Amino acid sequence: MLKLQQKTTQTMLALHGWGAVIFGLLLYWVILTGTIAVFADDINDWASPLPAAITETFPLGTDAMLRKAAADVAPEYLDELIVFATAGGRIRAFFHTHAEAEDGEHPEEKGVLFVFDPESGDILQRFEGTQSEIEAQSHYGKLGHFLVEWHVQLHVPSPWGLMLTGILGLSLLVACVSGFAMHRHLIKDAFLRRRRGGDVLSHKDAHVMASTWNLPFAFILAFTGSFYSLAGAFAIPAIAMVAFGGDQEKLIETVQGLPPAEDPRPAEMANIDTMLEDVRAAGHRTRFLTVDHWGRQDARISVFPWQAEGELLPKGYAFDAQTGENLGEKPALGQSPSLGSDLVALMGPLHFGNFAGWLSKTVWFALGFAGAYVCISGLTLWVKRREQQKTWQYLLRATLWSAWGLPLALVAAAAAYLLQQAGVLAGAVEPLMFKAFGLCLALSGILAGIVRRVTGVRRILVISLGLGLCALVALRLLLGGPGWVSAATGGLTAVVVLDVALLLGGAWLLRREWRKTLALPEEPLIDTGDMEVNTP
Amino acid sequence: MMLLLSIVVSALSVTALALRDPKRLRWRQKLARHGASPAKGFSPLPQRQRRWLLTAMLVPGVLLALAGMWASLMLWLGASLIYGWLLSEVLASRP
Repeated sequence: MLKLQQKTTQTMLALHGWGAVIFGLLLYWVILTGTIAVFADDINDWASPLPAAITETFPLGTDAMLRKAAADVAPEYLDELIVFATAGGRIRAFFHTHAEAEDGEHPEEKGVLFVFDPESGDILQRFEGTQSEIEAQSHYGKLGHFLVEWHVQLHVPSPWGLMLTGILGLSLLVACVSGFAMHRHLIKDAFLRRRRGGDVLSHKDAHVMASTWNLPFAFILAFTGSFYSLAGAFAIPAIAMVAFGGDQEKLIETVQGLPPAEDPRPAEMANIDTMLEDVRAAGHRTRFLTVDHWGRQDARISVFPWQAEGELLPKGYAFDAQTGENLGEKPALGQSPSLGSDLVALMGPLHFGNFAGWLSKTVWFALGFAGAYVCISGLTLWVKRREQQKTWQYLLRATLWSAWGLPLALVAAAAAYLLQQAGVLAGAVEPLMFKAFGLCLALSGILAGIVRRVTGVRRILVISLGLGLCALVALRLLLGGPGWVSAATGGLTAVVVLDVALLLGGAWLLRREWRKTLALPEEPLIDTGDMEVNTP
Repeated sequence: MMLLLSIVVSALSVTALALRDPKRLRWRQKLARHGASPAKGFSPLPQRQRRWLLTAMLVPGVLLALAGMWASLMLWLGASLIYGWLLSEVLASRP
């Protein structure tokens, strides 16, 4: 897009290409898992549905459920409470306090987790311990969580995982800027896809065309993703070190304001159902709520709803815990509304694409898919340009392994979740998902290494993925999951839609491979020079 | 409704731009010399008309921004970009 000197263009190309070689595969992992994680809540609903769809996320009776649970926990765990919906609409309430972890170096949440049936109000599960102990035992929502953790920190412990994904986000930003600068005819080539014979030109057009259309959102997603990764892992500690002598609590107090004075005298809590009704009356659907100091004079309640139709920024409402009075909107940052607060709040919807239900999630999924395609097509193009150098063929094999092996391994993890849930596999669900994921990834990696022809690697992995997607639906049905008729009549939209999506995805992959098998090999056309090649 | 209308207007503009894109059609002609079927009935759009269509593609976004419909603006942008990419891929895959 920019008229650059040849030397500058070459520098940009080197930055773009080598950045991709170093970070490309991991970036693809982060983008692909993030793309699927757009539907993490729906995937959880699909994997562990209730017999019928719930009418309200937090129905009348939520207050009674929370009171029953609060009476059943040690007083120190009433310090903080977070309540949100999990798989199928079950209600998850975590009463906890902040204790020092065993290593004595960082605080850890410790308390009791309740999972309620939203219709009957019955306690389905109760786990007590530190957060890591509870997470090791709990089951609902783990499939979505598994995906989200790949995207957020590649399952690497904090803060290193966050720093890693933050660096990957920054590398994507660099790729966006360098790609934008060095392609002279980015807009003019938006429809140019010379698809013939799988030569360099075909691969270049595939990469450039997808990048052109995806550029604005690649930039937005890279920026917001880097913000989320680096703000907690790097920026807050760094600012605290520079301006507050390393005191992070002081930094938070400065930005968010001092918490109200402690008043541990007992006090009757107002009815939470009334607060939820208040939020509902304002046209919102509650997403989660928090309670500080349950049953005390200084108790505080905040309710955070999903965006109403047409809204982009998420809101939060503060309530008086004793009277139930709505105290008004709670800004994302600070004590009063500000531009900074709105900008911080904007990061969420721009990154997660969850502000308009299925519609925005579908668009964001497609945008994420385009981003993943750009990664793989870019890496393939890099290798194609160095076809004569044998060393780069290993990168091509690794690219194919990632491109198809990663989704295949995610399918294996989902299968392990379903099998554990049905009682076929014994043990905690997360290690089982890891085992299935790792095994599948290792097998596909071995395959990518030993199959003689590269096209053979792709073919085997694509066919396996196509069959795997279809088999996942069959497995869910065989293990006693709701059938399509009962799911449709019970309003279980996620079950029907995701089953259809998996089957269509699998069938499309198999059909694509079948057609490729039947097609005659195409002869690459030689560019006669009447079409411009824009990159050096 | 406004969102749907915006997406339709932009999608129609993108479709017209894609079908009569000079570079794409030049490539089709080149393919035709090698035995592929040429893109019949379509001639490249003059630059002036391309600019009008480009403006028509962007106007719904400007209107949404002026109306302060930020959620719709993001959805319009995302949907239009994805449509453009998919359309280009589909047109390239036609024999």
